[in-house]
Amino acid sequence: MASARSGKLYKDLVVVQDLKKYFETKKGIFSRRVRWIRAVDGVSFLIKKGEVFGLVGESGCGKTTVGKLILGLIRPTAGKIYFDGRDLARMSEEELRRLRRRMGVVYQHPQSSLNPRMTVSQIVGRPLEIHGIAKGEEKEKIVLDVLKEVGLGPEHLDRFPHEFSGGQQQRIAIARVLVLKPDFVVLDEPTSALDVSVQAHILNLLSDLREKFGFTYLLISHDLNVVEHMSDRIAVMYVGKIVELAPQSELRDNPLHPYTQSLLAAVPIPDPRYKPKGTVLRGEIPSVIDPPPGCRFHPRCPYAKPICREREPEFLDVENGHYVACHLVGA
Amino acid sequence: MKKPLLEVRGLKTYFFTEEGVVKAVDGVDFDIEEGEIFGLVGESGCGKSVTALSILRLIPSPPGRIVAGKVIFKGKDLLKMSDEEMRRLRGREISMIFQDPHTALNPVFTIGDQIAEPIELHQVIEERLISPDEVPKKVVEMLKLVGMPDPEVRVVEYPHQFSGGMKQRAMIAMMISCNPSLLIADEPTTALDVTIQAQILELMRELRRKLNTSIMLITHNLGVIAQMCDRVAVMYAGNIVEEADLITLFEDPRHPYTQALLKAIPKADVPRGRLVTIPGMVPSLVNPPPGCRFHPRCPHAMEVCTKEDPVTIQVEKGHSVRCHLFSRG
Repeated sequence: MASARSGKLYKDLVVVQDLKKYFETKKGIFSRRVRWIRAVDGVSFLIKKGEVFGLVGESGCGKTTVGKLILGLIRPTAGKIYFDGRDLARMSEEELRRLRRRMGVVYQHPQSSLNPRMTVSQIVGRPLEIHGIAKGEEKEKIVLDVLKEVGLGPEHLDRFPHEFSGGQQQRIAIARVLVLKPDFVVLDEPTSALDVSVQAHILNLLSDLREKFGFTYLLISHDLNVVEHMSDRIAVMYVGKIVELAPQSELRDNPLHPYTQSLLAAVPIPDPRYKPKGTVLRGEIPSVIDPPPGCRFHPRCPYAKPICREREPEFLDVENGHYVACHLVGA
Repeated sequence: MKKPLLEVRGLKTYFFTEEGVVKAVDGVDFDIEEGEIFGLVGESGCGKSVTALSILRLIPSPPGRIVAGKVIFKGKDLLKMSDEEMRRLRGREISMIFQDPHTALNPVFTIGDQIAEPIELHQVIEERLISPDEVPKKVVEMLKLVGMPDPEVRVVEYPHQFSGGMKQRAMIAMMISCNPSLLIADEPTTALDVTIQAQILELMRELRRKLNTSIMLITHNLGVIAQMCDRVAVMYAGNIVEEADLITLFEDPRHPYTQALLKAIPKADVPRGRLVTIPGMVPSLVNPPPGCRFHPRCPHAMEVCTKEDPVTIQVEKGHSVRCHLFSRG
């Protein structure tokens, strides 16, 4: 695993160990009581080179925060992140900035992630300038090549983001990532703001680019259909924790955690003959400020036992890379 | 034969803007039967919400105007009613749930006050069905019906104290408080998480079962349609392009747009497969393409499609398609 010569501790592209991120909050304007939002509360996983790793969960589960932590955009409260074997925590801002050349990110809303005052050519060319890779004619040539890859042409160079549809704006955002030829791309709800037919174009494009350039993706989404369609392995998050992690087909055919089971059952399947398995999950998603003790899912879990209220379950490999954090599994 | 609860005929709603006339809804026909869940599905800008707002005559005017058509509800044309008659009907006979419960509720009134309003207006003042003292009891009863935990406590709370799912439950309680015959739900679960969405969808099915309310369900989500509806109409660029019962629509879609839309959904059982895409973009409704509005993106487009607007043809009983492929022979 460790190779002394290269200084790399891990061979996998991204290794996350017991990662935590707490945000401080105060209740009320005059209150002095500080409370902690435990957005990410101890997650561990690794992303292999070339794979699509799906991270799925409902709003507020911490999936976006995990993405930001890996990109080094925010610093973790505790835990380790290794990118290509190197510990992000030991890097200076300058080193991080250089490392980000190898990372890209596509956000949900292209309207807010693209600068409305910049033309397409400026938006897509900007990363090349920032990292001192190319300028002038050389830059323009790269920009043009990249635009072609995402299905845009020279006629779009001098236009502004508002002149494009949502799908085209997302293509511009993808071009901006592509221009640096990164190894790793975080896709944070890349198609959630788009219509089904446009979503299909963008998902196909993302698959093509991965094949052509060998990207590794971290796909973050609340849409289980999209995550299942795209991913090799999937992690399910619930209130700051990963409750289950398994290869795509294994998760779909053999979900072990009661939350995963009810999540799968809750997704409306576009087949009128399909009858949802299991019952509709009761109750609501708990707050990350005061998460329930023990297993965080126990108040909604149909199978909860006394132990679930008392002790937090461990995240264990039950078979061949199928991890689950549940007292009832494998016990 | 029994008359349908709602008949919409040749409905046209246009918006008169500086850029030109936006033909948001351009000749739409459909019926909703008593006690059925009727789905209206389509992508953004296809006119599905405008159709719903037209039924309730809630189109902002100017710039919008219903320029043609009939909306016959229980034998009466809503488009010919006076404003006062319309006001009495809204919330009592036909009510509507909107996508975003956060903006649909008034932040400065308690949930209880807001649910009480239509009850006071329609059932106490107009119909004298119940006395003013009974209103609080009725409000709590409605909250219980929609599965709100601790309704006696929550009735005096404000919207910000509610989660998204609970707000939507409160909205539904308000909308069914006068026992309407038709409930229009415009993307009722789009702003909610999937496990909460499942709860709200189950609640709507239960209401139909208990109260026999007809529901017009507007959504872009074909999964929601498949799990909820009896009959479905597909909208594209201001027209209904296909209408059929649920199973037929999913298993024997005839319109090229419906076919492509169904294939564009990512499915878990075909991972990594390429999704079928529709070339091009949704056309402008100011200058829609001549002939069939789908022809520039249609794989089967013929010459006639570029010139003549297709008419709606019944291909089987209860299955109609607006496409030239079916209009000959």
